[in-house]
Amino acid sequence: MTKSVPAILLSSAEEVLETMFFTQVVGKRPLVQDADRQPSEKPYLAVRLCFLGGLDSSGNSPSRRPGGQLDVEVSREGAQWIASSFLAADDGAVPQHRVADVICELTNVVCGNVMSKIASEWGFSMLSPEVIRGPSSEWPYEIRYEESFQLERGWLTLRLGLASA
Amino acid sequence: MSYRVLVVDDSAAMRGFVRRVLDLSGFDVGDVFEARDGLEALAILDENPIDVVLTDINMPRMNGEELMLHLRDDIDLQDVPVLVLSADSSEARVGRMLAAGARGYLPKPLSPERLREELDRVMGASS
Repeated sequence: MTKSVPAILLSSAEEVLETMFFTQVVGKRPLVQDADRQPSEKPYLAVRLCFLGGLDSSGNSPSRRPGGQLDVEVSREGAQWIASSFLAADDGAVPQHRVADVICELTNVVCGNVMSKIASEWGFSMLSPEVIRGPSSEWPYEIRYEESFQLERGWLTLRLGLASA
Repeated sequence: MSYRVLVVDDSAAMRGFVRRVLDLSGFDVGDVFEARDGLEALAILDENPIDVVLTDINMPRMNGEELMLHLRDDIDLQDVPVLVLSADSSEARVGRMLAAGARGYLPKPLSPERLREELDRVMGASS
């Protein structure tokens, strides 16, 4: 791994959003603590994907390395734009459940892209992404990276947690 | 010659996206079939002549690796080329899928250009 984790989060967000979701990252966005968020700054949708580290000798039961999780938070405008671009639908015409499906796919691809850069040699196993209902206060990981990006429409935040080895 | 393609992914949104990327790639695609997991894929393969399979890995009931192992053991289907499309492009995972019989491995994010290159390579080698 030659890049820092924050640089990997940025490059993965740019690569994934541009290639598959036809959406540009236009810049970094200042992070806002949960308690300080205005209503307009609260995410419209939050998705969590947990991953396990390392493939064991049989391949399917990751156990050798610690895992972690990736949370993706996105604004209403960002979520609707990303979903309509991915599905080639009119902006705003995608129903909420399909918007959530698309943001889950985005989370899956970003997580795979990030972890392939961080943990390529030992491998990892991703579980299914899930929409977070209610406040996402649980954060059991010691190592945490967080980056927020302004998109051509709306914003998106990535929060990566890694258990220490 | 138009190629019959089977897309295997548990996400309807992703299957639709792969169809779109196939269109954009300029590859000579005929009928496109869709399956939600390996079991559905095997049922479609039993009933239809398929030229190439594009499969995800993580799926319920039968995942992509299990699907490839079934194909490898089936004398009628073992020559059908399989390309893996996956978000996980770690060396460990790619190595496992190629060892299971995948002819190619395309990491997501997936672009029309990369898909076309890989399909040309795999189908060129098959014909």
